[in-house]
Amino acid sequence: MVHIHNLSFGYGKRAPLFENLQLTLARGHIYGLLGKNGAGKSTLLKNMVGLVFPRAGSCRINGQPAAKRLPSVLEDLYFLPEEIYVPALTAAQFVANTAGFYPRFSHAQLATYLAEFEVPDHAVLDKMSFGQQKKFMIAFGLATNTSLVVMDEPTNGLDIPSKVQFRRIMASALTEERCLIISTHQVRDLDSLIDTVVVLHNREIVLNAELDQLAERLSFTTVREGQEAEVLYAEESVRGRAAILPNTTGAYGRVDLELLFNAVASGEQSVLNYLKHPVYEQSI
Amino acid sequence: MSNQFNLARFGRLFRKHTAEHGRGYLLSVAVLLGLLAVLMGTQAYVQNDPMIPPIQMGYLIFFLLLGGAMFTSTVFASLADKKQAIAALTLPASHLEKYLVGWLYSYVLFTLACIGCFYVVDAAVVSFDNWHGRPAELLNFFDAKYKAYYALLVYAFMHAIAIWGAVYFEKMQLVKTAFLFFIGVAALFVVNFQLVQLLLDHVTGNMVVPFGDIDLGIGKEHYRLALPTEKRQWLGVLPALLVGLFWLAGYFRVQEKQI
Repeated sequence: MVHIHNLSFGYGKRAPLFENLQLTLARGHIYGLLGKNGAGKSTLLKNMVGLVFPRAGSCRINGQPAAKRLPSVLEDLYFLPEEIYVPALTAAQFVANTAGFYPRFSHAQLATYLAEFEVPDHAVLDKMSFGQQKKFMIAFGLATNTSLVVMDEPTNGLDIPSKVQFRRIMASALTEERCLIISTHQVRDLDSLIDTVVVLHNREIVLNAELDQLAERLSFTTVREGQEAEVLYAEESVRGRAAILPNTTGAYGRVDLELLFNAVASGEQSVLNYLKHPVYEQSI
Repeated sequence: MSNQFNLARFGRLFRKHTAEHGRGYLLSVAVLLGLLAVLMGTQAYVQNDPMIPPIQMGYLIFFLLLGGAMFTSTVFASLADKKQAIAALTLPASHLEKYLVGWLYSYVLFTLACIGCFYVVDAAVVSFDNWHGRPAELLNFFDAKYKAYYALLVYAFMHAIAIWGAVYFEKMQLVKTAFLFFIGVAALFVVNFQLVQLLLDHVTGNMVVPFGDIDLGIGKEHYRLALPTEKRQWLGVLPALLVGLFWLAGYFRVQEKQI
C-alpha cells in the first residue's frame, strides 16, 4: 500500500531529517508510529500523504507518487493532522459538501461513529470544543472508507472516555482492505489497538515489527534483584523493576508498548540487537 | 475519472468552496455596495457639476482594480494557513480544479459582482443627480467612446499578478505583491532607460517608457522612433502574454505547495 524507498527529506537548506529511509506498510494492519517529540513522525506522515516532497528517493501509495497528490490517490486516502481545520458549517452541512469526494463514503457508518462519540450532527463545527471537533473528524475519516487512513496524534485533546471509544471504533474500522496508521508520543493510547509497531528514532526507523512476533520473541515482566543476567532492558516502575527479557519459554504474553518504546528510544541497543538475530543464534 | 479535470468533481469543489466562504463573500459585496454608495453619493451631493460618464468610469476602474486586488489576495488564504492548507491539499480534487475555483471567484465572479454593484449604485446616483436640464447619462460599459470595457483587460493584468502573489506569499499577500510589483516596474523603467541611453548614445534625455515610442533630439531636429502603425497591435500581445504567464505561475505554485 505505502512504499517508502530511500527517502531523504529535510526542510529547506537545513540538515536532512531522514536519509535513505525504507518502509513498507501493507493493507489489513493498524500501524502505530511511535517516536519522541521532534523525532519526525509528523514529517514522515506528511511525506506519506504528499504534503511535503522528498529530496531524494520516493514515497508511493499504490504505486503512485504521493507528492503528485492525484485525485485518484487522494480519494482513497484520508489524513487527519494533529491540528485540524473545521469550517463554520454544521456537521451535516460539512458532510453534504465533502462526502461526495469519497466514492465509498458511508453515511450509516458516520451516524454510528458519531453516536458512539456522542457528537451531534446539527452543531456548528467551529463552535464545538477541540475534542468534539477531533472526534467528528475521526468519525468522518473512518466513514470515508478509504484504503489508507493516516492519523497524526489523533488522541491529543481527547478525554479518557473518548480515548477508550477511539480505540474501540478504530479496531472496528479495520478490514483486510484497509491500512490504518496512527502516530503518537502517548504510547499507552495505542494499547490493545495496533498490530504493528514502527518506532522512529534518531532519523531512522529502528523498529518495524508485528506485536505477535514481538510477543513470541520477548517477555515483558517485573524482575527481582539477582535476575539481571537475562535482562535486555529494565527500568523502575510503580510495580517494581519492569524488564524486557528474551522469551525462552515460547509462552505468549502481552507486549508492554511503553516499556518497549522506552527501551528503543533510550539508545540501548540490546533489545534491537536481540530482535535482529534469529533465536537459534542466541541459543548457540 | 481524469486526474486533471473532471466537471462533476469541479462542481462539487465549487459548491464546497461556496458553502464555506459564501457568507464572507456576501458580506464583501455588501461592503462594496456601501462604499460605492457613500463615495459616489457624497460626490454627487457636494459637487455642483453632474457625475458625467468619465467620472463614473473612474469609480468603476478604481473599485474593480483595488477591490479586485484585495479580494484576489485573500482567495487562496486557505493555502497560507497550515491547518486549512492541509485540508485543502488533501481534498480529492486536482490542483487545476482547486486553482480554477479561486480563479473563477476572483476574476469572473468578482468582475460580475463589482460591475453589478457599480451599476446599482451608479444608476441611483445618476438618477438623483442634478443634470441642470441635460439628459442624465449613465456610463455605457460597451460604448466605444469611453471604452470602459478596457477595464476588464487592465483588471486581468492586475488579477494575474495578485493571484500569483496570493499563492506565493504566506502572509500579507497584498502588501508583498504590491511592493514587488512596484519595485519590478521601477526596475524595468531604470533598466530600459539605461539601455536606450546606451544604444542611442545618450541623444535622448526624455523619459523612455518601456515598449513606448522614443523621442530623439539631434541638434535642432526632433525625431520619434515608433513601431509602424500596422505592427502596433503586437504590443497588445505582451500584456496578454504576461497575464497568461502569471496565471500559469500561480497554478504551478499550487501544484508545488508544501506544508
